[in-house]
Amino acid sequence: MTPAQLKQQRQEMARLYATPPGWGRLAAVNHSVIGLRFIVLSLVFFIIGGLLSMLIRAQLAIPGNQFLDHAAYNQIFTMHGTVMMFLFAIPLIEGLALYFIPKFLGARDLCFPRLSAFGFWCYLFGGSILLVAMFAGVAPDSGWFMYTPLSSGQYSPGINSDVWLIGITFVEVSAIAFAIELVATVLKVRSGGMSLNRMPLWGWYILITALMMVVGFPPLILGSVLLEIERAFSWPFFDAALGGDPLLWQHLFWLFGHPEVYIIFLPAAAAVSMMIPTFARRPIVGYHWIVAAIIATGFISFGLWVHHMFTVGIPHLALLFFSAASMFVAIPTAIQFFAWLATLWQGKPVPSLPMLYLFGFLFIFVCGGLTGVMLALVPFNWQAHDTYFVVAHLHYVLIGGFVFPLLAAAHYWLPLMSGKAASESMGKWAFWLIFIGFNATFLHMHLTGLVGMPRRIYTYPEGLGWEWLNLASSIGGFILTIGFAAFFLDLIVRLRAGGDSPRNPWAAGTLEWSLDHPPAPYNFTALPELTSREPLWDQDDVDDQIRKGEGYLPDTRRGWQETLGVHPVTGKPDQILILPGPSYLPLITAALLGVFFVGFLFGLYWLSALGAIAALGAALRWAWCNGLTRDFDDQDAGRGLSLPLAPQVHDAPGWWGMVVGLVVNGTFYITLLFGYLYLWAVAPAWPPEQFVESGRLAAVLAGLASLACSGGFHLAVRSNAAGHSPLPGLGLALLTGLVASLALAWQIAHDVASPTSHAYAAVTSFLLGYLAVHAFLSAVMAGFAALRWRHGYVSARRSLDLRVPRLWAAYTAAVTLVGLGLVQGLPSLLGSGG
Amino acid sequence: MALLVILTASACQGPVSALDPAGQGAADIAWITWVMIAGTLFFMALMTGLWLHAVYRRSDRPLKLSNTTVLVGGGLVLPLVVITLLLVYGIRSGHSMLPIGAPDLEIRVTAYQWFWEFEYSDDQGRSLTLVDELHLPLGQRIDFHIDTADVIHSFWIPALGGKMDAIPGRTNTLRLVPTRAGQFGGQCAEFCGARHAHMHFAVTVHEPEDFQRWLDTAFEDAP
Repeated sequence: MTPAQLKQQRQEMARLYATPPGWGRLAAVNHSVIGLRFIVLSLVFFIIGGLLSMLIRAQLAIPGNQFLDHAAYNQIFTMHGTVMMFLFAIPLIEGLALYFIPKFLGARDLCFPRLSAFGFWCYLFGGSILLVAMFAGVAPDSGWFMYTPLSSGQYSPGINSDVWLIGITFVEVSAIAFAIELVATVLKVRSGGMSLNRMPLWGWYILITALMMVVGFPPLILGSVLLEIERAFSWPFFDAALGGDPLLWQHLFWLFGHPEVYIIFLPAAAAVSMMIPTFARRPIVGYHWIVAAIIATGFISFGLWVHHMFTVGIPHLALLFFSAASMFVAIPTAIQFFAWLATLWQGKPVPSLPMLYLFGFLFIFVCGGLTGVMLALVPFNWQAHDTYFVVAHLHYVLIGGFVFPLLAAAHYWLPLMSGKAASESMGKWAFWLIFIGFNATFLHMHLTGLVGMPRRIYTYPEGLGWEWLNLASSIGGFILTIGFAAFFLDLIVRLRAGGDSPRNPWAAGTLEWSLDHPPAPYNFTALPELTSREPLWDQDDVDDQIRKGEGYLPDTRRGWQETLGVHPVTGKPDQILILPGPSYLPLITAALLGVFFVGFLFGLYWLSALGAIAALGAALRWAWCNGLTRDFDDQDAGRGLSLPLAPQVHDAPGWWGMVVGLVVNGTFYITLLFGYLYLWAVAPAWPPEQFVESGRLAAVLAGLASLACSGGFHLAVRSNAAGHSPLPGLGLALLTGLVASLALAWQIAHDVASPTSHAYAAVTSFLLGYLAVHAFLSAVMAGFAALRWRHGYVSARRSLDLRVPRLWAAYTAAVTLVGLGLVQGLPSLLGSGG
Repeated sequence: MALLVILTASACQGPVSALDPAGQGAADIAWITWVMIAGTLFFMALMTGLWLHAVYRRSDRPLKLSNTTVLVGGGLVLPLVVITLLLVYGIRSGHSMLPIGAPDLEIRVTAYQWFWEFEYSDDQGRSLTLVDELHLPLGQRIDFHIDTADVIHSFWIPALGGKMDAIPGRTNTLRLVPTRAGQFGGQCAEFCGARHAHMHFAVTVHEPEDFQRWLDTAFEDAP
């Protein structure tokens, strides 16, 4: 292309990918815009959480302080934990990943841009519920861990606990959306030649993090849903007097809660793994070791949740398993540290401001990791659990392992993100204030715990030897706050008045530094073919490929926003994705979902029902926008390659999205079965007065109907592939889906005792209700697919509209058979003996 | 430095300090605490030193050790050895604190929002209930059977040993063996609502004969 053509091409692309001005900003879907919104909002919450911690430190500075009463203090410490974990840390890593992943992997956007926009609105609305409640003085006050029965209706009758359960569940919708988005994107949407083996480590870290969210968040969501139902309708899932068990909540919470720590740590470690090679001037040592360590962390982190429950009376032998797992998780972390050290040793390290912050990370996080090993030792835990030792430990882990790497990352990537040059002096001042302030707050806090100060007390008497320890922590806390203020001030000054940064100021090797500073909304003018992990160090042609349009997909035919889809392992291009443009649908869907949640919050269940139906309608309208109404031949993708369009390919991103979504759903279901069996085996006040002993006929009917529904979709896919109408198959699926959901609803009404009578009836009703909703949605999808076919979105080559719901129906059939087998089979197997 | 040591040592004293033990379990745990703190300081110094050396070293010579040696040695062998030693110790030490073998004294503990009830009884059918006040005999194995009337609480006397939660629908048992007579403090360690901060109780450890005398009098006076 000539320079003039290139210039015109870039202008055309900028126009295509632009976010509309004015109110149109509400329709934004571009990943850079959405990523930045996540980042900015999470920083706002960080400041709010930080101010809350200042109130805590002010109250605890002296014994017997009258500054706050217990009602205020309990809300403040609950909100501090909740805000920092759910509204700051998780959304910040989401924002960074949304912003950076396409830039690291060589893509123009994520594969579902509207889904991440939807996620942002859910985050904003859910977070707002909590904030509004706080300013109204009815913030949650049962601790960020919400242990039952303190958080249940009897002991927390106010709206406070509902605010937590509903607000946080709303925010978790965005975490699930993020997880699905990122798994599908990292696996499918990269530049040509970026095999898994050439993927920057950040990609690996985010892939594993997203997979951990896929498995880690459903237990929390299930727990929150069950607890909210218990509070709203008196279904006694956690009530020991009626066959429930408060410990079930603790299992569900920590089944999420511990992996959560690694969900936060891994993306920060990802930033470290990207920065260290740049400053060591050499590729990372032990790339494959690190990948193995990330995967090992992912697995082990799901085997140690019970170390939060060493004092609840679980048999000692069982504790040892979790004690060992909690210590062994240190090994993959140690591997990463020694890989970073070896990289620095083998290279020629350049001291710099980000490296200074990384030193802070090393010092503080190593301390937090080691005190974590201490806490994993069962007898020590019996003393230290729920004391200020744990408060100190967790701040060393989270501020050391999460905040410090991201402060380094902010200085490192700001020239890329803003186009402004880095400055040194103010950043150094901020570092020392934060570093000294942090240690002055938390180092001796270990001792505060060991000399007996328990957590979550709003005041303490004189004479226990805690006075100067607390005063020192409060003073340190204010130094820490000044340090953060200096950091933010430095950033603002730089963004407003900083000089322009040269391109790639750190001379890094990874792809993102080839972009404009700041990057154009489409990132890459053309997508490069990659042959190295550090293309900017090893590939002379990469700049020409990107900037001179010599790479893939350099043009804007038909006004399509295109990016490459690749084979997940080899990175060989196998399809062209057409990205959607700006849309108000994500906002509308999230707002309608908000109606559902707010209705529930105020007990207006009719409003909730309306909101849910409207949100489903909006989601279907949204799904209608995708796809093509005619078949296309393979399209020129540049570099002599012709590729099919995604809607005509077997494993299009939409198909991957449904697969990952079903893994989320399946984890939710398995956790539910765990709860069902756990209550049966462990809870006091069993067996119930009556088991499900009737309704075999309805159960058999529901099972057969769900199988037939799945078969109907199968039939539709096969006749469509053969060029025939899919309507008979879809008709069968529609009909049998409805039959199955009605049979299941009938069972709940006729064969299960009142769900308020006993946890058994409650959990059985919930299980059958889950199955009924799934069968009903299968029927809706069948009707939707038939409409899509009528309007020409489906052909023998464009079968995604049939194959995606087929996955759902098959999943539904499987969970229905397992669920009904348990409900009908277990009572006769175990019940009479119990 | 000496001042710091003295300051730290005096800071560890106190009626509710886990580092000023007056019971078998607490003494064991305090000992392993100091060992682990020493280990933590050693590894922090090691890692910090390695990092500073790697970043600020003068010479440009790369490391003589191979990368695999560093990764296997530092990332696998070192933590594996330390963790295994720690686990073996932890298993033995934790086991010795379990309520195994007959106790010399049993006390029923019931937690309420926001106070404690302690119930003593003997084989003659006499019984006695105290609120927020606990008397214990020196050197005897005491089993606490811990229950709650409402939400979750946690029974904790730091000077004597570890804590144990009070969970609705369950009775948990905690064994403590006091080894020093005197006045100590206990408190609720699980957040239990509005007045959690005020849910503490007084503990007096008596010589065995003093304890028996106190108990007999208390049974007599009990309504």
